[in-house]
Amino acid sequence: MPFSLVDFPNLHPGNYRITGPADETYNCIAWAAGIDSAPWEPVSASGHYTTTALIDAMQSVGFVPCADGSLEDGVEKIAIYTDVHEYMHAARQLDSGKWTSKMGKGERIEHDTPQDLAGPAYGQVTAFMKRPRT
Amino acid sequence: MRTIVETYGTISADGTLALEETLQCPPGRVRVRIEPVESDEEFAKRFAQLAATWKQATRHSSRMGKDAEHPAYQEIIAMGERAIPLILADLEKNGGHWFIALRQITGAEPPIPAGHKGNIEVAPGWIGYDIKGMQAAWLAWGRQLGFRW
Repeated sequence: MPFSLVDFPNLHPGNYRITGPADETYNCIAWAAGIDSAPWEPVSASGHYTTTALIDAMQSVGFVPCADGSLEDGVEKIAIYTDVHEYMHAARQLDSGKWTSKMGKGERIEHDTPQDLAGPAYGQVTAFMKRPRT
Repeated sequence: MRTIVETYGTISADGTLALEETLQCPPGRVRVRIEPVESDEEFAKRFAQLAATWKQATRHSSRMGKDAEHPAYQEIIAMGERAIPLILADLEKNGGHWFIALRQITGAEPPIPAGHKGNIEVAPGWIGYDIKGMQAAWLAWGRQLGFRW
């Protein structure tokens, strides 16, 4: 099912473009980590989708927390979106400075800033992480 | 010994009840409780509405476990075995993450067929599911058990 602008009040035709087809075989978390072969759903020891669990999981693939989503040479960053204490989405910064997101089971998009996807569907950006760009 | 039998039948316009099978019960006076039954058409329509609601509500979600907690998905699970052919038909036609419902309804865990990549380690200590492989597994399971859709 294609993604809908209705759920993303900050998104408009001028700040995003579709870059990949709808595909239910991987998800936003996997894509943020650079994986498109399977979905990745980190959970806490008690089975909850906590933001802490996602941050811990992302550390296992080389990310460490950082202050913001500013563009840095040779650095790959991700933005984590949270609603209350549970993560809802993650986006990854491209070397152009724009961001790439897999929209659930839907399409892959490129968007200008992490804030473009903040809102009722994904909550707010609450953390950034970074790792060396390969 | 007290025997309770559940069966199906049709009430005609004149009020008579015709059972769909001959009962294998000891003769004698019994209590009959009438409960309306959804027709196959009504059942399929309810399933389609619930499935559409669930897909719409979870289309941007990347969390299968959370998606399965949605009330529409839970109602589909509560529809039980009768919903299996409808789920398999939707799975075959549209894909979708129906594994949790099928597993909860049936208790089965069919293996991913040969030729699929299988579940993989997406990160140290983390398994990512082979979605296409799991879909193929459930469709093969359904055919093997004689479900028609």
